[in-house]
Amino acid sequence: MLLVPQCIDLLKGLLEHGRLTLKQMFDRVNSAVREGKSFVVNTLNRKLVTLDSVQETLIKLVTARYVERCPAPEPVLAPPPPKDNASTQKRGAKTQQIEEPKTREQEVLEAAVPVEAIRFSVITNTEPDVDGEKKEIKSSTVTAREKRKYDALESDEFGAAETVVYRANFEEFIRRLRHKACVDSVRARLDDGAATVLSAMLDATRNAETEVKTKKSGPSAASFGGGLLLTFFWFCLVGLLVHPLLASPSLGVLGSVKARYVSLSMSSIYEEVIKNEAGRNMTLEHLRASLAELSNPPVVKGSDDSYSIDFEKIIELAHTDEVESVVLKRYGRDAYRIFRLLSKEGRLMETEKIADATFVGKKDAPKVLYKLWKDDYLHMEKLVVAAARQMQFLLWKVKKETLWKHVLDEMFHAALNLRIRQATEVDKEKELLLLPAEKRTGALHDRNNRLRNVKILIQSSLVKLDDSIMLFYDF
Amino acid sequence: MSLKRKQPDKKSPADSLSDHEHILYNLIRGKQDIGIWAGDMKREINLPNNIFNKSLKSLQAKNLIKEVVNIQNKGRKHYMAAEFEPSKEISGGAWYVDGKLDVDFINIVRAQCVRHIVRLKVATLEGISDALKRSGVFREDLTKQQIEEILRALVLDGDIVELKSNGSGVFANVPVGKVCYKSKGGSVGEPRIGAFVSIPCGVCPQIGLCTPDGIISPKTCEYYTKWFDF
Ligand code: SF4
Repeated sequence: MLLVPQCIDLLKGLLEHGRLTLKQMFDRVNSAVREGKSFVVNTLNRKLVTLDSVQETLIKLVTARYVERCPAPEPVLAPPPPKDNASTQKRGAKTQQIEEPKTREQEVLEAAVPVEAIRFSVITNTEPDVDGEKKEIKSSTVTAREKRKYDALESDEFGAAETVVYRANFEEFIRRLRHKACVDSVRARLDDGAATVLSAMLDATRNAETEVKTKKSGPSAASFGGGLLLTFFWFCLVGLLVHPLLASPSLGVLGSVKARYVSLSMSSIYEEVIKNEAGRNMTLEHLRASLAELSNPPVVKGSDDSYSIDFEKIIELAHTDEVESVVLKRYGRDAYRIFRLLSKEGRLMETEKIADATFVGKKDAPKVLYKLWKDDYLHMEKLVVAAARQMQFLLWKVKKETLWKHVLDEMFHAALNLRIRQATEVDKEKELLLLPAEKRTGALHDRNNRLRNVKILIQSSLVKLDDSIMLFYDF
Repeated sequence: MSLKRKQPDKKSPADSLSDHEHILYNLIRGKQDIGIWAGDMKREINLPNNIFNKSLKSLQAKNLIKEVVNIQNKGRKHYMAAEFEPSKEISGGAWYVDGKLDVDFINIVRAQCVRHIVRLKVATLEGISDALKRSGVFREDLTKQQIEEILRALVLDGDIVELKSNGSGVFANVPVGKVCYKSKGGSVGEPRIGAFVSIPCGVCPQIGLCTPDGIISPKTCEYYTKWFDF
């Protein structure tokens, strides 16, 4: 745990600069120590950090996959296959149906990513050995084959330890944050017991989960205000690093390995549960009850003593919770009940049927529905029936795909509003801010305090809002 | 259609009806539990206004017809033969009284259902229905359909949750796969407050009209000013 502040220092540098070599990290950390801006200052009494300790911290971060080696700057690509018909036919229709051809851009990106073991390895600077070897590769899982590949790479692309550049691995952060969001969501829906079980299952399957999300990867939210993302990651990484996971980064993979659904047996879940502080006193009976809770709705699927987490379901429920809470607060309880009905049914329903099922007065229901529709929270269709008298019915539906996008847009809009308002508030007090601190007394002192509180409120809201934005954008 | 109907009882006051009253009565009675709006009647039978009004009053005085509230249009005078009860389309259904949702009664039924679910821990529709019957709180027993409607609304409100029995633990007495209801526990009815709604823009009805430099703008927004009122 002593290394945690150092990890934060290192990551802060990587987030601020994008990419750094070991040497640059070492210099940066020490200049921060000298300027008193380092997280380690308090613990180490401004003593300069040694290269060894920076290396050690880097290895910790790389082993936990929070940091990775940057992709090769100029990847070597195999020439595109000749477009002759015969060979395409030979490959067979089956492969063609399943795999969409990759674009050249995708191929380049893929080729640039080093193999797993290299991606998560650290080239350390050591004193020359007797046989003159200076560099050493440190990684927990390098096989002989990979070592050979590394040696080949080393000779051309990466050069010496000084030229190897590292960067924060956003994929891993997003994966961990997704896990955290899942556990939080389950805790809010069910209880602490269910959250502890889910968290243990995630710990046990972490290494087997290879994708952040099937269709998305990388820090896509970065397209929205880099500053915001940086602040957000900054808070998150402090939260994550304090977690004792750095102490046990390589948990064994249990059960069969699939990209997203890893199955675990009851006993392996139990083993993991009791490793945790929160689950230490959990009985097998309690675990069984929590698993039953988790299967209704099925966020954990279980059959024949084999349980797997359904991430999509958890995220979908978390989306629904967030949107429902907007409907409740913005449009009231009747709207909330109507919205929940339509979202649960997932089909078009007629005004009167909706009023009956939700106990909303028949006169009020159309008004509520209209308001939700006007603000793009509902989809509406008109149905004209030409019987003895022509009758018109209105049918309503929650269209999740479009609504989720709409809510995300509103969240981005809200984040922008927060930042604009913060700038306005600071601007209003710019004269006050020019005064030296000791002159801000009396009423000026109060104004100064108010501004500070406004900034704290806006900043913390931005961080929380970014959590929700990630939920809709990245997870 | 009115011709096919059975004539009223020999001794009924309908015997002593004038021709106009007869026509009007037949028309209203022909509409059964749907009844008819005075305006539609006038159009259909085409009587002079004064005769029409007189006949209508007379039929009411003889208790052959009654005025009912039509949920679709409460302002209109709507009539129905005395022996019919307004259909669901006209009255609004079992939960409506005089065209208004009977909120007090609904709330009592809701509270009773929740009380029994909490007591039983996990309850089926039948279990709740039996418990309500035995409690004797209601003068008339509620139908299963009525109870189910209330339970569904409670689920939508987040006060209770609907689950399928897995046959073990709390579900030990319920057949596997049967739908049950369970109380939500501590946080009844209060969904998790999302991050978005904890800032003014999340609950703002004007968000669609709000622009950085518009009339509605975060720079001048009153919701924010209130929010900063520490
Ligand atoms: S800034 Fe004010 S007006 Fe604009 S969306 Fe937010 S709360 Fe509404």
